[in-house]
Amino acid sequence: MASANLPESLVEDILSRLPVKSLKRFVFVNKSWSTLFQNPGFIAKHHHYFSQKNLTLLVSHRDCITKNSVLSSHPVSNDNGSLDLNMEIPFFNDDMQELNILCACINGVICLYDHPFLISNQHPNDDLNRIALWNPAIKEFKEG
Amino acid sequence: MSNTSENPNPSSSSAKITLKTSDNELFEVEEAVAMKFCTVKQYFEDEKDNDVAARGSSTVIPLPNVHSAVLARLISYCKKLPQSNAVADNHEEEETKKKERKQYGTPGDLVDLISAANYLDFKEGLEFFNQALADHIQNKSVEYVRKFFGIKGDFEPHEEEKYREEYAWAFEGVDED
Repeated sequence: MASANLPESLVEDILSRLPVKSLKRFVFVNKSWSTLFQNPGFIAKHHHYFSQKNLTLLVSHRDCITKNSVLSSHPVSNDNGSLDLNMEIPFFNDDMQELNILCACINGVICLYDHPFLISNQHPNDDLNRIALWNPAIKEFKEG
Repeated sequence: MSNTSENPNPSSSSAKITLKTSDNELFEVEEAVAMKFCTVKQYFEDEKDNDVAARGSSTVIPLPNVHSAVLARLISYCKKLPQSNAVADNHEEEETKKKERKQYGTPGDLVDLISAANYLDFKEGLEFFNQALADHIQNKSVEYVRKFFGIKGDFEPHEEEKYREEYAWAFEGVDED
């Protein structure tokens, strides 16, 4: 296979059209690609192509039989495409009454908020409130 | 040999422009098609400015970077250009577009089409063929992509191994090379 000799700007455009999974894999093509994928301009371009294409509803609920937390994604444009993500939701444990998802989703990042005492009517204790940012597409999670 | 594009509506008497490829073939194309190529448009307008008497039909525009085989495919793409290159807003439409993009041959063919569309400054074509190539490589392995773009890996083997473990999900379901 002869190698494709394309100008850098074209290669960048082609790569920005790839889904997150491909980009996560191609981080290891070489260091310049790994740097490129972190470039805000590149990320913005990638979002531009994908935010229009994949409108998705993310639903978190408890399975009524197993009582396990379940997360499913429902592509808005495709009625038959709902999918249980079978994903581990960060800091969701059995003691938790409710997992709050705040602010819907900004560029694929979801804000999670755990406020256990609100439900049990006790005084809120700020130390026990937990908040985190979560990007399910790349399965990365940062607690604040 | 000259390739003449058919005119579906002869009464419209649209002007023709002659393009000459790197292998010295002449293509007579409708002005509306040729003007999609901004490089041609620019050349054509400069020519007009230089010589008011010159008629479009008598001008031969040289395209030393484009082979006839590639130009023929770009012209045929131009003629059935989709109404809009906007991102498909539903799943079905996206699948249809994907199939359409698959018809343009091997990744090597796509690279030729992309290079030519870039040289001709043909924006819709560039969008379309870039997306077609992205479709092609999205499920490929790291090794395939390195080879395809002629890139050498520069990570240490242990770094790579650690990463592959951490992001194992990104390495699942990859096409065979």
